[in-house]
Amino acid sequence: MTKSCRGLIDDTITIGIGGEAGQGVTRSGSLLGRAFTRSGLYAFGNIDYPSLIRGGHNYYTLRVAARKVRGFNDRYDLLLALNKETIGLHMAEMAPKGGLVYDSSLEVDEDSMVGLQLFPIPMGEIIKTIGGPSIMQNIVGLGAITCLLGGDLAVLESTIADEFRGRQRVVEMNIEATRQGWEAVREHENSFECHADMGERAKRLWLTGNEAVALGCLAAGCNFFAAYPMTPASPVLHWLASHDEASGMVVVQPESEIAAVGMALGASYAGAKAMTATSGGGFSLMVESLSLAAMTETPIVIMLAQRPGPSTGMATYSAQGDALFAIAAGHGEFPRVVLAPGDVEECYSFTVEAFNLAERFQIPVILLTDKTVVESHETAESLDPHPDSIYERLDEWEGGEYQRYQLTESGVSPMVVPGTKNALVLANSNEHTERGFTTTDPKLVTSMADKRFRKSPYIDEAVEKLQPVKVYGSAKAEITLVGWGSTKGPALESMHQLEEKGHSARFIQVRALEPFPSQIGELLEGAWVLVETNRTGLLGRLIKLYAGKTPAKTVLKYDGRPLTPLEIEAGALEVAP
Amino acid sequence: MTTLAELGTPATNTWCPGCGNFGILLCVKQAIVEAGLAQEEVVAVTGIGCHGKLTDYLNVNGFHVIHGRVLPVATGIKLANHDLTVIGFAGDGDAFNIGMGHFPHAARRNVDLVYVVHNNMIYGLTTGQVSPTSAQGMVTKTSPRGEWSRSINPLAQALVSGATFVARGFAGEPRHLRSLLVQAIKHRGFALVDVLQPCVSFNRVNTYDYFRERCYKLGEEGHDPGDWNKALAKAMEWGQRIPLGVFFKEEKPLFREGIPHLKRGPLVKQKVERAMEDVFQEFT
Repeated sequence: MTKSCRGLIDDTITIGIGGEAGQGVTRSGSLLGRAFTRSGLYAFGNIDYPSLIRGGHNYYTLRVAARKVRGFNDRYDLLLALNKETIGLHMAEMAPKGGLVYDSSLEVDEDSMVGLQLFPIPMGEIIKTIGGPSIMQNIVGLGAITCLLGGDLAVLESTIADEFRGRQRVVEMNIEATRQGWEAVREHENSFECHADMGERAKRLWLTGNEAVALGCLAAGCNFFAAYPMTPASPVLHWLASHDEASGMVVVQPESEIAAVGMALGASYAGAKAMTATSGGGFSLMVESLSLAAMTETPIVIMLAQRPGPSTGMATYSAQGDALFAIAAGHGEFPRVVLAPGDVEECYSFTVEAFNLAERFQIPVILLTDKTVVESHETAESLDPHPDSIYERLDEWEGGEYQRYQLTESGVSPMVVPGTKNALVLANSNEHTERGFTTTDPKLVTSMADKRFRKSPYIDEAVEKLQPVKVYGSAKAEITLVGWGSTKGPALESMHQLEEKGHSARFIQVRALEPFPSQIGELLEGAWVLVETNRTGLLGRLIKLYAGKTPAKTVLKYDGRPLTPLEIEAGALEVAP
Repeated sequence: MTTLAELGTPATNTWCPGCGNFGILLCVKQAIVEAGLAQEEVVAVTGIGCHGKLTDYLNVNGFHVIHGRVLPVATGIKLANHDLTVIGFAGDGDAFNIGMGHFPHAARRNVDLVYVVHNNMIYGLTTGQVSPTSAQGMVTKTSPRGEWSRSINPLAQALVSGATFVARGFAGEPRHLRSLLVQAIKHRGFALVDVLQPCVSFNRVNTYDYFRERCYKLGEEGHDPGDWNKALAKAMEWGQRIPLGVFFKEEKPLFREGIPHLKRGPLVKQKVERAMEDVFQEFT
């Protein structure tokens, strides 16, 4: 049975939930997205929040459809306002006939709401009768939204029951709150012109990019994770810390990012599969150790979740400003891999691949994400529970004197774990002999640099297998969009919109920035549009450098917010034939 | 079990003749032998500075890292395989300037590490700049009017940070130093051994004679290493009399004992098996 979903404007429904920090905005959005996912629909959710704990304006956007959905157009079908500020800030973004759900005690100027449908609900009073805390108002709102969309209350209830599992009284109060919210708008159930078919159950996942990265760690056999808190990467640390015993992973929050990467390198040297995660500022502190990893050929995976800079920038917003930093960070020359996942499925699979590449080639691998990718919720089809995971350390040695940096044809030397009989493992940040002793001998240092770079063609080949350039849409399209990371979502939505309008379009996603897939040049024969969330078009600079191509048009956004499909569409139409 | 001869390497030693590091290296080798450790059971982690060459000269596992980062790397190694004996070596610049941010944390965590600081009170490898343990007023290339700042007190720092073994040795007293190193290796917990190490090329003040005239052994004066307050008082003593020996020692739970799954054995010896299908359930 095909699911159906109908919004006021197209085949998607966009719901905004706004309130102060501390009013449960993110949890409401996430709960609703999970309920839609369970119902066989697809959802995509993103939180916009300032860096504070109480007050301020938090805003969750959730888009739902019967097809995979990514990215938003700021045309809301429904708005759940948990405070008055939300209404003022987002009224103008409502679609005609859009629905506004709010607490009836808020003094709303109804005359200014021409063309909208108003659903005031006594949320505060309902919560008072139930005896719950005021934060539960959001749950009343979720019940109302589900009703207005013709949805399935039972699915929402089971989602809430699972969310608060083990706290029976909380579950009961929340379920009562959803029911009363549902009842409060029941008379309008059929008059609101959006419909989300929530009948059938589906076995899909609802998760964020950060959670997908954490799952990828587990699937890859990672057993050591050290990280210092930094938005937007911290949730990986939180999730892994809360699952350390079950997964058998050692998870440490040390005194700094410098210590985090140092511990990870020590653990990796000792035989663990180790990772750290941070954002630009923390990565800056790790750079010296990145170079240490390269020189000592110690495998490590580092997630760099970008946020706007320079400096502290906007801690809780998104950017793609660190592309060149990630590929060039570290003193000296050395091979590395930089992978750039664009959605939750890629966050999972690329984390696994990052570990495999680090392990196979004994190099640092950077997982370059951004706030939009790692903090957005998304419905994922399924994740491979048994991906290939490589572990190549030796705990036996019988081949004469062990030399950690033995010169080999592939450039990769056998890696023994310390503690192994007949083998002493000497890692050295100085240029070194095969055995690991410090040297400045001109012949030896040349052969060591050559050894490290002999890995390059094999790394290229391995990265090539990961489809570093992925093309979506028709090969002979009129419009070509090119982007990376989190622009994948809005670019694909935009492609969909352009096709609806009779244009043929394709999207080319660059999924590895180092080694750079220069073959992209062959795909860029006609006019193309560069889509990035930074000020200077960093991917464009790499394409120019490696493939000699320049875009006909750039769509660059650097206000910290994700690109919208409409913004991309507008740029694309400027160069459409 | 290993022998002194096995602990040597073919690498050419480039320390200055008479350098205090020779004494420290010999004592470390002797302590490894005396502690009954096999070569492959030991990991030496060194930072940047003259001391850092030790990984070239000591035939055990080694990780020569970058300036100031001995403790994080040593901590990672120990947490990944606590069957290994991990000994960190750092200079006074490495440990108490650039690496100072890690020192109190390693101490308060109580990871089972030995931290040997080659304290020559000067920057040697970079040819004679002021160090955080240089005496106030000391004239060096970078303190031509005499060092302005007061010096760092490594032992007091260790004590107030919760280190569970705090000792000071002298490179010119090898038998005593060896005994301290053996005790530090055998100690369960974070063990600091601050070693007074004359730099014959760049420190003309804190020479062998300087220390010989001033150093005395705590053990000979009835110091009780179980008394933290007295240890702190002794740590503050410097000048005409300089105490050597174990200032403080106590047994406290190890960092790894707060990680339940490490009770099953060293991390890298545990098979990693995860039922991902079950983990995915959390996200349905």
